[in-house]
Amino acid sequence: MITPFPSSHPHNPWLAHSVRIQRVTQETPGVATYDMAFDDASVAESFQFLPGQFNMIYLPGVGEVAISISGDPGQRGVVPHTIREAGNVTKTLARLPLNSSIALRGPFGSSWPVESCVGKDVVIVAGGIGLAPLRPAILHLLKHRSELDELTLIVGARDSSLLLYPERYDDWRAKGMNVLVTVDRADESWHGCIGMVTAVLDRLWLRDASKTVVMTCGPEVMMWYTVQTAIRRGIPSAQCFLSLERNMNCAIGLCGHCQFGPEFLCKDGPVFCFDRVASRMKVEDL
Amino acid sequence: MTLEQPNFLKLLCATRFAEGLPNKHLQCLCRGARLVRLSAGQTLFREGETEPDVFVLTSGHVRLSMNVPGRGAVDFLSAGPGDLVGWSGLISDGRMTATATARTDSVLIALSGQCLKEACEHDPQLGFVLMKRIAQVLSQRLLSTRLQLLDLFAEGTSA
Repeated sequence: MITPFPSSHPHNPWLAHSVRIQRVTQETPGVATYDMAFDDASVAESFQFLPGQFNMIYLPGVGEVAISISGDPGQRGVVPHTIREAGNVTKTLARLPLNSSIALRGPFGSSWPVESCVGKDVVIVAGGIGLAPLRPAILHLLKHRSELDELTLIVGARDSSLLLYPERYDDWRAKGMNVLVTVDRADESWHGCIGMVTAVLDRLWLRDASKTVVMTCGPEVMMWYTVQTAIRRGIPSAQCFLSLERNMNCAIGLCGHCQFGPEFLCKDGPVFCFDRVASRMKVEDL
Repeated sequence: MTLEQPNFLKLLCATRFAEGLPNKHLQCLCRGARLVRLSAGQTLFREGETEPDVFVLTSGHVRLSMNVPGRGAVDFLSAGPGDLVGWSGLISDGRMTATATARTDSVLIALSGQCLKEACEHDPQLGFVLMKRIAQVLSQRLLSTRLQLLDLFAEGTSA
């Protein structure tokens, strides 16, 4: 069975665990995956997360940033995070040498509804670095591939040099996932599809739309139109899930920085059913 | 190569373009239709040329490109099964605004622009249904182009 997931171990949300940067894999320009290994063996053994959850990565003297976990939920000891250099924390992180000691606290937040995918078709739509928070769900679903019907991943990127994890696509295909890749801009070397992920979703063959689950992560506008396309194709909105991003600071719903109407993205999200957040997604400045 | 009309109807019915269209209208669309098979790399029509027919892809992928001086042919969109290409033949003077080249071996139904125009003039209900469907296709194409223009995957800001 896909379920049950072991629930995350009870933890003190304020307690940061010491980790070392064990390995850095450069994914695309400005984006790298950092494998973080716990110093404390007991934490390494007990740390569990659900696909879609995030950690707060803490760099002493610099600050803290919320980053989705991008690794295999079944893996113990090492927690990968795929991070784009964007602000002070992530830029400083990018300059740290291997084995540097930093800290993390977590895991936090809601997760992708992988348990509700049994016996259904699943369409995962990722744009840009949005593939990173979806990768744990992908890896988990591939482990339980026989319990699903159709499994499709639609990946979009600005251009082919910015595709995330392209070297994994063949392996995922071999394990039974239909991987469709599209780019916004193509050069002479690109022989694949050109256009938005919505266009690919629009022409995707659906075995039974009413029994299809959609999970999407990427720019909010992309996610909105991905879900609109899914709904137009007959997929119930209650079966569409997305991961929202706001400025998360405390990660436990106290500081209010990530408030989204009545929800706090850090504790009620980041993964939401579309129905729960749809009315607020087009509210300006929210 | 031309197929018998019933086969065209079956082929067309299997495409997304035909979803929800009444059978009697689909039969009208198939009048004068022909099948086009392209090998990968073959050109369907060229930017600037006149092409009277419109095409519905039944299999394969076609790339649309525009010629930009100094840059050559710039690919900007892929069309796949169920997509409509070459609609200029129906709603304007038929001068193509892009070059369409098969990215993979492809099969398309070429709907006769002349027959369609005549059928629409003769049967305004068919004309409305067909133009509504084409407007839906163009609306989706426009939305997709807008999203590309927004450059959504450009670097964002965070901590």
